[in-house]
Amino acid sequence: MEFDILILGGGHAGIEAAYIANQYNLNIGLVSMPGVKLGSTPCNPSIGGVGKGQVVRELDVLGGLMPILADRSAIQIRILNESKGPAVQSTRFQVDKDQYALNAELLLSKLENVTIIRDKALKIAKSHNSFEIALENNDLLKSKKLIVTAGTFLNGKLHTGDETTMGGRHGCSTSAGMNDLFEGVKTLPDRFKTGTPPRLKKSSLNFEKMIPQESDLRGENFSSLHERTHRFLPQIPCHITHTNIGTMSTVRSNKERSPMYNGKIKAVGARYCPSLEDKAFRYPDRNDHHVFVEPETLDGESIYPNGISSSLPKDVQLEFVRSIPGFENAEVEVYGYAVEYDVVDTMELDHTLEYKDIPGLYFAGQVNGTSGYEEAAAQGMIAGINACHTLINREPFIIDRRESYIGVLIDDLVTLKRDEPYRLFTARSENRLFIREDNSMVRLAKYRKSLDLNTEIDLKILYFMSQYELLANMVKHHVARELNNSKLSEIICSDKAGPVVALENYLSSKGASFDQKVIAAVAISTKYDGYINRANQESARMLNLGNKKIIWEKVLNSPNVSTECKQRIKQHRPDTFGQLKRIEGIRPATLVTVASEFL
Amino acid sequence: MDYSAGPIVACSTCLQSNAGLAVLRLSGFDSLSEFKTFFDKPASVFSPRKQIHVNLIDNQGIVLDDVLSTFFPAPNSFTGENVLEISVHGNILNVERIIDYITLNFNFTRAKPGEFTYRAFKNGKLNLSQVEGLDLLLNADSNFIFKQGLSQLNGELYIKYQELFNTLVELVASVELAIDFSDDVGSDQISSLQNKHLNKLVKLTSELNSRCLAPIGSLLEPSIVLFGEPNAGKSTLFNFLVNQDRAIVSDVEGTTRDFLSESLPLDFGRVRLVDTAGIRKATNFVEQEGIKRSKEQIDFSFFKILVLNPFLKNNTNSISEDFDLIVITHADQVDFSECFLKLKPDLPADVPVVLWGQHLSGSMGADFGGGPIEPLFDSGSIGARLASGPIGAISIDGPIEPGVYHDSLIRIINILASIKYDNLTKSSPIIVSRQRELIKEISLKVKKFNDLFNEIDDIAIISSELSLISNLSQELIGVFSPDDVLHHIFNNFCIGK
Repeated sequence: MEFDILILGGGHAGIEAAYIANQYNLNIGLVSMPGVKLGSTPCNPSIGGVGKGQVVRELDVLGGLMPILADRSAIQIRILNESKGPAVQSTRFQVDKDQYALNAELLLSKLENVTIIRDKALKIAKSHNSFEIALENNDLLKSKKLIVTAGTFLNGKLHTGDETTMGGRHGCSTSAGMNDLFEGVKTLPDRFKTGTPPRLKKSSLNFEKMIPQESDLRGENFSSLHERTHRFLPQIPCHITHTNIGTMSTVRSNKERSPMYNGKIKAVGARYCPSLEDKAFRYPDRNDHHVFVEPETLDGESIYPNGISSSLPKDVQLEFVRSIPGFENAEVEVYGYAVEYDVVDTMELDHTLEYKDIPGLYFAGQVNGTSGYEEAAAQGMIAGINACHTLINREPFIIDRRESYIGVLIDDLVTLKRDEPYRLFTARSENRLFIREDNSMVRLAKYRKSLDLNTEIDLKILYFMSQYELLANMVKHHVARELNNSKLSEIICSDKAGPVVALENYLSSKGASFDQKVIAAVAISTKYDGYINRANQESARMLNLGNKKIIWEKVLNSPNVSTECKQRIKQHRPDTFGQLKRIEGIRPATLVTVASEFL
Repeated sequence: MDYSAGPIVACSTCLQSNAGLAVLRLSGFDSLSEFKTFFDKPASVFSPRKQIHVNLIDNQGIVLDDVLSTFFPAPNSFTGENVLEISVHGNILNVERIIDYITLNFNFTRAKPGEFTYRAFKNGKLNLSQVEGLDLLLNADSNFIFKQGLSQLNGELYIKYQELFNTLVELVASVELAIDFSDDVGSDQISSLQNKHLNKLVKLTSELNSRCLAPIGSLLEPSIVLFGEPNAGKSTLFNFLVNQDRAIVSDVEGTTRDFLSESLPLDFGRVRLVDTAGIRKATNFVEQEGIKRSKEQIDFSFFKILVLNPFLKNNTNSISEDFDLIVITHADQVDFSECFLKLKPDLPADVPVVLWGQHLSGSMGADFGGGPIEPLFDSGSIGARLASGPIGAISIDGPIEPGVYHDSLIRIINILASIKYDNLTKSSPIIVSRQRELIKEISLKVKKFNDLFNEIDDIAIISSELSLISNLSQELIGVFSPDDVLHHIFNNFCIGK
């Protein structure tokens, strides 16, 4: 079989790439391992969250798949940071993992240009202008472009206590062979590690002892194709419980049996996603940690206790689980495990996620060392679009980091060397006041337009933008005669009820009707305008500074820079102050020293 | 900045007059072997930071000078480059001749003012606040400025600035925590962190700000000003204090039309003693201008002395609490006591008063002993203010006589001025105006931010405002120092530093 684009891996990156590439009328193949569901959610089944909610809405505007799947499988919705202002507000959906995968399967199988192949890739070679992929069933696939979205399956190794098996996740075999195929591809010297908690049986838990968190009816769907607050599935609560001294002592007294702390796992986990072992040993004074009790499906038995991921032996896991309120009689469905995997050195990729030394080869998703389904999907989208664009001789598709979290993600990935899994935080953006959920359409419309595609989403964008411009113009210029000739924009900003309610009220008093999303986008933009302008001036100043050249070799000689920072500088070899600033783990003191001594 | 890139040379010691020695500093050359024709010994005799004795030879083979020379290899030198210091004989002609020879024959250019320091800064040997500290150190004309220079170079003040910056980083981090990790870290813990760091920030900035409030102009070049009605005897007193006939003295009012100044050594450093034109309604343009200038001198002065002649009428106009000392002149005249007693009720209780006459001397003072004036002084203002203070300590025997002669008057001025100076400098005021302005701005912004923080619950705005403050604080220690700041700093350096 011959394809224009072949995608290796049916996870969130792979299916997103396939979904967008389908819109280009090219011939797409999607190879997924047998026995692994498309778009499966092996970690906790939730989509969105702080920063990530923005990404999912950006994917929506770009014509993506994830927003559709998330809406259709949502079983509990929360609006995070609601009290902290609209700029940092994000939506998070708890999804039914079976429904999610089912919908993925359903939507993808209907795509005209996508062929799904259930097999394991054994060997990959490159000849002239195409890639050749040998499958386990002896089939040979050919493709002009290859997008690798292998997730944690590159040399994956699973740990539960003393038990070690090969595989990218529980119940799945590894793509161990792949490494041989990519001998030319640089991976990071340190493998990454991620972990999961033991899954619990719902019927064995006592929810009376936990605090329920109901689904928020006001939470808005991610996809503009769906009605704003329509729910496809019944909504159920999640619950919260806490660890206690008993839980933590159990972990602490079994230190030598923990693969992470007895030296068996050498890979690096994320500091922002600590396992229960990390919590026990890094914060010896704290015993009270949140445990979010999340149903994995609407009706099924499996519960994901978020916050107690562990790779301790099974007996220890059972002991600490049963010390937690509500879990006294808990039965474990699947024990927690940690997985170690190889990570591509993304500094070898360009902003289209193409591997610089092997034209036509793209990497996207967790194989690039990111964590999170949203980050994976975003990369799948970018790799998918760009693979198409090279085939039809279009300009590379690159999103400015000042306009979107996807832009921040890609730019960070290809310019920073990382030593832990990458997760998107709003703090990574220099332009947080502008990159919001409410204005994703405003920010991304021009990017979608540049794709020159024509699907349902393009009509939605067209309609939204015409309404938005109308209302924004009105708010900018309108003077309310009945309110002391105040400017409408000032009325909105000064209203105690908040800008959105203020604008709603004003419009309804005038009998004007606008789409709720348009009102929110205009009102919130109006509120932040002044702040954004000021921040922009500041960032222009910083940009100037960021572009200043530094000679990193000289920095290494400075007595004022710590050895740890020197090591990082040596790895990253930053040419400008901006690059230096973005290196993870660089201490402020180092920046100060470098700026004052070397600029 | 139009500094050169190649090797530079300049004389690093004072070149005002012929001196025994002058030190030339050469920086930025590739290797000592470049000078193999210049020295009568091979480069191999030099070892790092060891002084060696060589002859400088010109290209005719003639000895230019017989010198001591020290080699500081890069990067362990002041500039971070290869540096050679040569102690030559200090005759100006000799120094110039050798520098000329070096620039003509070895591809060196003469260093511009501040160029050595600029290189030290560029090569990471000094940071901005340290450069400013060095500037203070080198140009200090008082102990206080010298100390501040040291403090800034690597001492207390530099640590304070770092602390300010670190506190901001911690505060920023705690705000970010609230945005991205509110689920992981409890909101109580986050807000207690935020409050802790914000309180520390407010405390730090207000401490620093209070150190920027002292009237710094009067401390940088402290002056003592004699002020008073025309013909009060200011110029006579001035001459007396500087011990020379500097000012023209006459009985004609308005004789002194411009101010005069002389350097006067006091315990805490040298001050400028200023004699001003008497303040009156002058019709003469020149005198008007003189009076205007006198008023300016008074405004900027550090220590103000009111000079009063008790024999003049209407001489109470200028009496006020603003003065640091009142000197009553003509104490050597007959009828002085009578006139003085009339004047006495008008004198402010809190300002020390000294009675002084041009022709009084120690022995003459005795004539006044037990006179009607003595108790005034003894129990009067000086006594009240300084009873147990240092005035007593200088041990003028017995009560201070009204006829304080030259030496004692100087002592009194010295003591009072020193006390005032100590009080002003005790709070270690910050004296570099760039830093003062930044600190004032930061402090103002922090205050506003503190209000905003309690008022607004939009954390993205809070974070955005906070980043504006942290940029300012980075500027304070020289992170984002614009080039013009550097330009200004380096231009204020004397050549060779």
